[in-house]
Amino acid sequence: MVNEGQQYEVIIIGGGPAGATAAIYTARAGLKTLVLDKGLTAGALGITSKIANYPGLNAEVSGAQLLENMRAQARSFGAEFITDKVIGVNLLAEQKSVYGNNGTYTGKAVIIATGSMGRGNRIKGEDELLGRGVSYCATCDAAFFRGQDVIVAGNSDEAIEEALFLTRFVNRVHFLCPTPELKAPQPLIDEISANPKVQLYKGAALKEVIGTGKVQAVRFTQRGLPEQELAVSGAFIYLQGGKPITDFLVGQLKLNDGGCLLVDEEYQTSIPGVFAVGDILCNHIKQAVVAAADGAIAGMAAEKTLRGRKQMTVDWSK
Amino acid sequence: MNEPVHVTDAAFEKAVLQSTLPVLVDFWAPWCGPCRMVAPILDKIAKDYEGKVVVAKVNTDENNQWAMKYGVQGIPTMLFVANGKVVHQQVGALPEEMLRGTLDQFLEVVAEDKKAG
Repeated sequence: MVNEGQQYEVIIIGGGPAGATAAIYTARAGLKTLVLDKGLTAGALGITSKIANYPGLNAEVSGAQLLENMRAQARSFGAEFITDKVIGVNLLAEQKSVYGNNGTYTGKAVIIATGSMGRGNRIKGEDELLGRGVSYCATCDAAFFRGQDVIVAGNSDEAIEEALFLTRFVNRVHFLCPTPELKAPQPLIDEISANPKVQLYKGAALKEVIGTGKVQAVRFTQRGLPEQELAVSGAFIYLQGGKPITDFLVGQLKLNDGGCLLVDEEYQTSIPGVFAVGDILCNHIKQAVVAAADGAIAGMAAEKTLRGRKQMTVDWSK
Repeated sequence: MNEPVHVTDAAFEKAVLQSTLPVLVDFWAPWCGPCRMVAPILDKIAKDYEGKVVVAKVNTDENNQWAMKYGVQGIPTMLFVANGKVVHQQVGALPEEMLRGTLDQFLEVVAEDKKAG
């Protein structure tokens, strides 16, 4: 098991500009810092092809490159990055637990920076057939679909990695990519494209999961083609949208009437030592530089909290 | 029993279906993240509900016969069983408070059935 039982001072959930910048500040302050992230291109910055307005960058760079630079900087100060999807947390205890698909991590402070690419509406049939063929976790459930046909719906590196994992068990993966192209690092795209068990459908919108008691088929549309139905016994769904990703918190933090996380001026939530930064916050200007600034403030505030100081210490020297 | 009982396919009938106490069965596997999230909660429940509920754990990696029989295709799946019958099924991890709530509701239903029966 990866990192089982490892203890950190700061755990940052999400490795986008907010999370990576928070890591730069906490790691540089000497705090043992872990960043958990679904992948380089799992978030809004990672899939942006060109960034031209980030201060100090004269040449146009890709969002993924900018992010990689931020992460390299955080690593240089000692931050650790682990690719894992966070599925739950326990923030109420003094030692806070963060549960991922691959491990459990504990820390004294938690910074939530999961962005706002969460899903809104469910697909027809999805809720009814959850656990009856609908799954969000290939690592958990792939073994139940040995030798069978399944679909994967998504376009991110997470969706591709889950699909590749499934190919070790299933007969065939029909990969329904909602966009005209996959949004992932090229080596992953090459790997999935070359896998003989995977059939890729580009621009394919999943409309319905069909079945009585268990998944029997899915219905989807694809540009320029009549509606199609595929007979499958599993539907692994990794679609994204434009909602703040807060589902893994399951009611542990206070929200306002609009369903937005409540934070103070240092981005601390209703639980001391737990912060939220970046696009996950509502009424927030969705720009990398703003997310990065949030991360810096929360990183310094986390350090202040952990070291029991009343004021933030700003290091002017370097 | 103040801790969960690990049940094999062979022992399932006796330990779960013929149990005199209501049973919470957890189908799990060691490589499943959400299962690891539920595990400490089930440990606590086994302790707190000692004498009221048996917490049974079935590792689907090694014992898949009953998981297949109940059509389990996603883990964790928790079955709430009384007198050999599945009263409620929960797919996916739940926070401790909600799981306790579900369990209490299940125990109420079982108690009422007993009275009525």
